[in-house]
Amino acid sequence: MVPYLFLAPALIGTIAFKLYPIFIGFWESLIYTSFSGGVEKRIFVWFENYQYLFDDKIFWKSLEITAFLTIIINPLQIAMSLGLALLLMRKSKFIRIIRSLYLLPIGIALPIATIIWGLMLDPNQGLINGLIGVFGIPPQPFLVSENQALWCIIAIATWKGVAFWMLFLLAGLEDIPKQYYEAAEIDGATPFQKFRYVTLPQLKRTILFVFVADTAANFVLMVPMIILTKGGPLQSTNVLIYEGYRSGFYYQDWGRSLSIITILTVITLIVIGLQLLFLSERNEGIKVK
Amino acid sequence: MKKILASLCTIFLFSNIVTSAKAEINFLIGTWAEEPLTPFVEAFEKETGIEVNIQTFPFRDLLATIEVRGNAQADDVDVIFVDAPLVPSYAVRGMIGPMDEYFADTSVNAIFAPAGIAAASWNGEMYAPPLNNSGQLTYYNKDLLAKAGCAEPSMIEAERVTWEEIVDCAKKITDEANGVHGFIFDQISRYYQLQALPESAGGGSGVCEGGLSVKGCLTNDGWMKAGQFYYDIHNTSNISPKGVGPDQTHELFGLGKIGIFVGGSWNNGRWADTDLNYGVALHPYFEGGKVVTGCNSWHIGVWNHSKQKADAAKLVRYLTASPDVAIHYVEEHNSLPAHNSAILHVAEDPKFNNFPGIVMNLATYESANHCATRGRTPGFLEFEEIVNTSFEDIRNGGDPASVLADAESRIESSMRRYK
Amino acid sequence: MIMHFKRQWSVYLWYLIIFIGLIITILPFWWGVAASFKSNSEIFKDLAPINYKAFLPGFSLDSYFAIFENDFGRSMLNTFFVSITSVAGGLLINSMAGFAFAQFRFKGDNIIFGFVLLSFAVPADAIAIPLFKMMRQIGWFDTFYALIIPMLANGLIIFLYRQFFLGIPKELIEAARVDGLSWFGVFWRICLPLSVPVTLGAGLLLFVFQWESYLWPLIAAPSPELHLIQVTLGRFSTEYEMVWNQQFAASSIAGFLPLVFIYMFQKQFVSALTGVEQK
Repeated sequence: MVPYLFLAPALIGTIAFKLYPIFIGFWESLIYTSFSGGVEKRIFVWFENYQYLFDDKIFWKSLEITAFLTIIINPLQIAMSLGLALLLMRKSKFIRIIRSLYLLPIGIALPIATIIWGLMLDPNQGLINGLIGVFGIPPQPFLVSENQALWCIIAIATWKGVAFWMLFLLAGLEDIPKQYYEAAEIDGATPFQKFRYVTLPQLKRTILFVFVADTAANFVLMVPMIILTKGGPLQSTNVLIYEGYRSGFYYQDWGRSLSIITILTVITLIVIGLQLLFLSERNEGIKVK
Repeated sequence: MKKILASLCTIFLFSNIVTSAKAEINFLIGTWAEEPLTPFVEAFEKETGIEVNIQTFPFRDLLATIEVRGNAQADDVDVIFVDAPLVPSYAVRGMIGPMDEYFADTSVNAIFAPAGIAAASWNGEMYAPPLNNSGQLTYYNKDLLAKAGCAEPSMIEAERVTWEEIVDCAKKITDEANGVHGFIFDQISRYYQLQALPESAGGGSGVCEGGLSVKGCLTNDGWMKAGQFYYDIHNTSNISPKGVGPDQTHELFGLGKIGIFVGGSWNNGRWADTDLNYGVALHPYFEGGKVVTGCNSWHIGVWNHSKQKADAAKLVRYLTASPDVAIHYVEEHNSLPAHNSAILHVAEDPKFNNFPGIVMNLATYESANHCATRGRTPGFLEFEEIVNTSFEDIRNGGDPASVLADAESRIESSMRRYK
Repeated sequence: MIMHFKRQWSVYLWYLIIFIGLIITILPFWWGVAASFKSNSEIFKDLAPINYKAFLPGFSLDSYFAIFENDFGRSMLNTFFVSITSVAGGLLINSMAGFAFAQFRFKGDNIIFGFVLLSFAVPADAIAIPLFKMMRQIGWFDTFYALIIPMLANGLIIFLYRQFFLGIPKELIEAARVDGLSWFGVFWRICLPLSVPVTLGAGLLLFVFQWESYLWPLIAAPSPELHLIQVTLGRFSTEYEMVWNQQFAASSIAGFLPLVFIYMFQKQFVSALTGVEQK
């Protein structure tokens, strides 16, 4: 009984405001709306909307880009956050202020960050082109290039994301008892050994959380696409969430939109499930009836 | 701390439950229209005793809000702003209702210009009468043109500038090292403005007759020519910069970084506080092609799920059919009229014969004689979005023929819903 | 001597990396702040072509006056209210659920946990429309309830707490139980006080979630009295243009506020954030 009482408030909220709408969304993905002859008809078509998707090369391209983005951006952000968190564990007179400054991007909402980065990445007169020009690199097209646009979006999301996830890792690092390091030092461990045998195992749970949360967040990353690239150039940044969003809110094709969202949700669940399976330790909780 | 929080909670939570219970007309409009329309809405309230609650949204949000409310068949909306090309979409999906009965005692043709009525109607019925109109012109930087030795484009119909002439001149002006480009579109990569290209090349609006198909209508010779032109100015002659969004184009022209700027009538007055030495001329066309410009603007319609349709229609008629509103819009907001009396006003008032007021006169002329109403289709939302992205793809170096073919098949497949 | 030199070298390297990182982190923000004190045409003048002036702040406060005329203040208060209530409520119910998942094995726990995962695997914008219809049915449409209550239960926070509570030694809890503490007592007096750093992170997650939310507040609470900050920010554009300097002014303020939030709680969470010296 006890665990259910603890669960109740959050569970009720989850069921009412998350699971129920998810179910409705899935249900609607099985419906085809026709306006033939000016009359709205809602027809239950089973998985016909999905079938349409599977015949659509835009969907497959979108899936491919989502997969590519996921494989690149998540490890990159985790590695950078962890690296930064470790750097910021060092003792220094200025550590307070340095840490705070590194947290600035958290406060800047992604749409604003996107607008600013968009201006900085301007292919004509942008700041970044000015900077790399100093090193003799010719101006780059960045967001208007099929080959560079996705990387620019990765950069923008990473600028914003690293500060955020670093905060969790920093909290995790602070939580590791100092005695462990002292003991390791007495045993003559190198910094790398300390990292490998003290930090990593102690930080495992935090890393798992950050990895899962970051993955979920990046699967729904679409603000830079909405503001800067509209999924282009030539669909090179057209991730599933954006294709789903625009199918619904722009094209008013909710059957298609919700089918894409459902597929994306299933993919997210599978990826998160795998992460949990491989990185999680067994829960040895107290058994109750 | 807890006490403060608790009392804050009570204040916040209860303060606004009370507000949403009144019976009134809910009017969804764009943020930019709040200032011009509010005095007239207040006058309407006084005159009729009907209360109006104005809710404002930025452009994209307005469309999203209308869709969301429509999807829920919400009855707490009564009157909405309708973007001209969306009339068929809203009409077919039952979001706005026909209005002919509310104008039965008068002649619609006597009140509004023909292009406005055409945009307001679908299947022979008028759904949302026009509030205002828009027009496209050629603005040019006199100093840059003189430096390059180009002739200034003309305001006279017989000497209307061609796209070919613009490209020639723009090539001479372009100086990429100093960030100067010969040419730019105001609403870059947007169908509203670029429709004039395929139309002028004889390719039509992109939507086929009947509005339910695009097969062969986005890939015809006219569209191919337009696509190639758009590709060339960004990728071959490079007279127009890539990567600049429609929000930034007028800023660049204002800074003297652009030679020729083809854009909306609303830009007039925008550069008043700069030292820009600029002139205005008629909209370009392809040599030997048709003369066509973009037009139409905002319409107002009655929400189909409204419970107070009669009152709602009164408001719509008050705002669109009254010459006062239309003339005020012209005078105070540089907005082109869709109303016949205001069109007459622009033609007769001498201040519209001189620069910069002449912009209004020229644009009104263009709109009255060369208006290309945007493609009439219930699938306009998806049509426009896909065409816009396709133009941007072409601008960024995509092959025009294959990009347009892709767009055509995507739009065609999404239009199956209306057939 | 060599040891000393090596040490010095690593310190310098550290400062160098930190410095470069800081520039990348701060530069966009700095530029936005500088631009907020300029007129729109000035912003673009300094950008085309880019020069050092782009990073010098202008002298005009116009954009700041303008945004406060545009009800920016009200939307800020609203956002604070919504964020703080969401943080308070969300921390409580999600930490309780996290505790349940970490400390107990019970019938259906894996299935329920699966549902929790599902709840954060689904994009928030995707459920906006069904949720919108639901709000209308229960009469919460266009009220603060719609902005706060659906956002309280958060699978990610449950997961975060579960991860943390798993790390609390079982002996500690068993000892407390033997001492006669109720389960709620164990949660409230033992586990929660230990979870200060994780609570900071969770609170920030909930806060930022509300701080950045746009689509949901836009459709669920359209009245101006209920506008949240991102909705107001979206309004600093007109039909044809973006009012850049107002955007930047508002986001400069908006960007500093979460930092103020972090600082406000810094004393309570010293160990988590800046506590190198204290430990």
